[in-house]
Amino acid sequence: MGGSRTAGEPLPGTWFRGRWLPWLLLAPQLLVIAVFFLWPTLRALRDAFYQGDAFGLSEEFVGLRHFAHTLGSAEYGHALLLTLAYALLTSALSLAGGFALAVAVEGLRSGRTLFRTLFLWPYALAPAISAALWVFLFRPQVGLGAGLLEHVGVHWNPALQAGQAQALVLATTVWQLLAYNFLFYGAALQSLPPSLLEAAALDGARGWRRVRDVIWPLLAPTTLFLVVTDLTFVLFDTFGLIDVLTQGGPDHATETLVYKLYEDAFRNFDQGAAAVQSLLLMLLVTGLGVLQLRLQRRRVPA
Amino acid sequence: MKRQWLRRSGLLLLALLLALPLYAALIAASHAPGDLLGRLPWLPGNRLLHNLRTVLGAGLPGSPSVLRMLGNSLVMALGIALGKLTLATLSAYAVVYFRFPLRHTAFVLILSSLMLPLEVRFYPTFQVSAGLHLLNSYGVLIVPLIASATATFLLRQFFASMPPSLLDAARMDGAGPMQFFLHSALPLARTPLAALFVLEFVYGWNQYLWPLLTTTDARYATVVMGMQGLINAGTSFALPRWDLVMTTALLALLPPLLVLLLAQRWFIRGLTDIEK
Amino acid sequence: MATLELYQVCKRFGAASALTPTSLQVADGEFVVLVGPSGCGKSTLLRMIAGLESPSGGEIRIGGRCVNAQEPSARDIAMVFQNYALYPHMSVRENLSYALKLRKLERAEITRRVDWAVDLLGLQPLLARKPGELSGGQRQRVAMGRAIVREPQLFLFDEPLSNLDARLRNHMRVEIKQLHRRLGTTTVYVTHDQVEAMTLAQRMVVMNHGRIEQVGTPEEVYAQPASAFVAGFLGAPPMNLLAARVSAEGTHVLVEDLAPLPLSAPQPARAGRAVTLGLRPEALLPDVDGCWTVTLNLIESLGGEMLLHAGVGKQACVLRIATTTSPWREGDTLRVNVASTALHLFDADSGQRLPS
Repeated sequence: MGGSRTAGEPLPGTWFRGRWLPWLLLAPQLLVIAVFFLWPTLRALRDAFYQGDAFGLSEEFVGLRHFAHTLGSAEYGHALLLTLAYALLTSALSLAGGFALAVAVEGLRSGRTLFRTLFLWPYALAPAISAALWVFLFRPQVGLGAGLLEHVGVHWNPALQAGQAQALVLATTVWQLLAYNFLFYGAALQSLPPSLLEAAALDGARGWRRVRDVIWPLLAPTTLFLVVTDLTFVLFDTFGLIDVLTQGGPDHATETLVYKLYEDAFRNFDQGAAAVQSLLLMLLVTGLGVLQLRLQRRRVPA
Repeated sequence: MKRQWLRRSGLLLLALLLALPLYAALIAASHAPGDLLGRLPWLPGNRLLHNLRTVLGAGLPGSPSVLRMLGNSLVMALGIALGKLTLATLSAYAVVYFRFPLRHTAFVLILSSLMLPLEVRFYPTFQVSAGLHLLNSYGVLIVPLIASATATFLLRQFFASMPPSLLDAARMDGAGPMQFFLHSALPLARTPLAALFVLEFVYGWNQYLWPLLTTTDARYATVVMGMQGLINAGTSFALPRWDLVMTTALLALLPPLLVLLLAQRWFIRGLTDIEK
Repeated sequence: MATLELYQVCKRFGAASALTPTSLQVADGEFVVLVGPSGCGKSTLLRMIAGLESPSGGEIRIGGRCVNAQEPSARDIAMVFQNYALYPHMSVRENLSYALKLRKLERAEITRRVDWAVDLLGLQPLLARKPGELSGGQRQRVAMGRAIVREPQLFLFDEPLSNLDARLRNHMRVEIKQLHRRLGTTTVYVTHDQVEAMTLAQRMVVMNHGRIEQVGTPEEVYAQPASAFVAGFLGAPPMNLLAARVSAEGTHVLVEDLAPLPLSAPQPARAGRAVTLGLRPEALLPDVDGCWTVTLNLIESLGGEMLLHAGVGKQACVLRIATTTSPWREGDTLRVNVASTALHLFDADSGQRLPS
């Protein structure tokens, strides 16, 4: 929409005057952020350094004890490594799959709308509901998938076999994320100027070369955005999925950081550990956000 | 031409494979529980209506009413979607069309809430909500979730991309800030607002952890967070009631799916609109 | 209808000055064009008159009333924008009546005014459409309609024709001129296009680098450009500007490698000093007895006339000849005559016109 003013002309001062009206407009959102965002964050910050007694009557300052306890525990290290492996693997798989699907579908001469819908729909499903469908599909003795695995000789029992439970969580997550990546790659492909692709075609870039030399680099900003959102999704939004599929089991084999925090907070009622883990999660997300900003600045000079 | 057909067949096969979980659910939901033992039938049966009636009527023993849970989910999803859009539109408008001290600080504060999704601060947020005696209410299902950095950011981008002369023209015409908001900014933002509505409705409907923590009273249970309990209830019988569990799952996934499919065109257009 | 007076109006953006203190009087009913290259301050000046920008100093009076502190909508003016700025979500009729509704005019009065504008501009078939369904020219016409329904004291146009193609631009130019004849409203019109300025203006204001270079009727400005900048800005093609020197006696002007030209008004004060010599393309006439010899580099035919790009000494200039077929070819040499009354002299440093 630019170009309405001749270059070199100073930017026009187009805005309203008003002292309290803008604050009135901002007030509802700022209020919600203050009560349900700032306050809880401060509270976690405080609780991480205090220990309450069993009856919640008194508290004492314990310094870094909760941190030392959490960071020193083998379970936390295990959950951290597991979560990272899980996040990286699912993100990579669904990113590659989503890109391939989007390129294949947007390259069709007809029927694009139909295929868009066919690959998009799992996006709308709650992770917990996706998990419910997969629970049924891979329920031993009942499920279609479970039957198939038994048929080829796998002793399928994810309730007892750690590796099988992990594979099930992985597959369900990729299935869910694929739609999301497909959606954003598809939207990005549709908004590429057709002249660019035509120019590439005139240059003789076809098929695989065109994808590798033209489309993939052009979609780099989308990829960057998706890497971070995928990681964030897998790290933090998969609680429902895991809760329905495996409840973190068997024997903590699918216990991610968020799941562990939930267990410590609401099953073990360990307020200090929960506060510390909340802070560590916040740090992790902030790190991801900063990483995204850094990468974006480097990519897009503007 | 031939390659196109090859590609199309491959894609179709893949699409069918990816739809298998949904198909299996449909098969289960349309049969009697006894039919699901042993090998799963290949084709849907004729008991879908019967199962629907059972689920929406009697429900599963030991579980809250499915109809009520669906209603709660709808209240929560609509409340969150409309709340987010309202707050985000007002904030974005203030930041783009006014110049005032601390404007940038306010915007950064809103954006920073994007950095910390509810899933990482659910524990302290739960504690604060409990301290405010908000648990077990529609308020607690909705209000803590209606700050939206994403929507604020995207709407700010959209407003900032509108030609400045439009505001000039409105000022010449004598429109004040609220008149420009109601008569021009809001109607012009229809497409991105529709896209964001889809996004946020799906987000709200699909909440799991937050309602699980804040509603111990079954009257406020939502259908998505209730799924775990429903599976447990359904499989506690000698003859597992996968027919009823899957019928409920289908009911739980239908509303966000319908919203997405009906608005798919706008949704993608809105996303590309915003990205520009 | 009203007069417009500017007293020492200036604008600074931070440390940068966009407009040096500027004064200008526009008579009631007059059509004044502000013209200049982009960045010259003409749009800033217009936006300050409109009230979209507040001046850093000085006073703006409309109809004798100081409007500095007034909101744009209170100034009883209307503005047409370069990119039309129509409300994309409203129909043409709604666009036309929006300002009147905001002013809480009676419905009958709104209908009367809108119908009048629709009639005047031939918008009848477009009323139900949205701006997105209109061509550029139609949008421009609606934008003008939106301005005239307000029956303002003052019309402001901000490069209204820049987004149109050349043919439509000529057409709309005529329409704007006719509209002004009919309504007689005081008008300030901003453009970077000198043809638009020449054809539309009763008085034109040539601006450069945030200040006014010259004010006058198009004829005055064309015949007696006040500076080398104005000379080089107006006319298509513009005036040829050659580096030259006044002879030691002050009676002739010398261009390197060429015969001296006699001055009709001798410049003894500048004898021997460097000047800029301005020659309109039509002031150089082919003549076998001409005093200068030029080399033809390129010939452009415009149908009814020809543009000859020629080398004069070590410099270049353009000749305009009213002929349909060229007796010359590129590379030929040609003798031309220069009428002494057609000479324009400018100070080589300041660019100011020297009396002649």
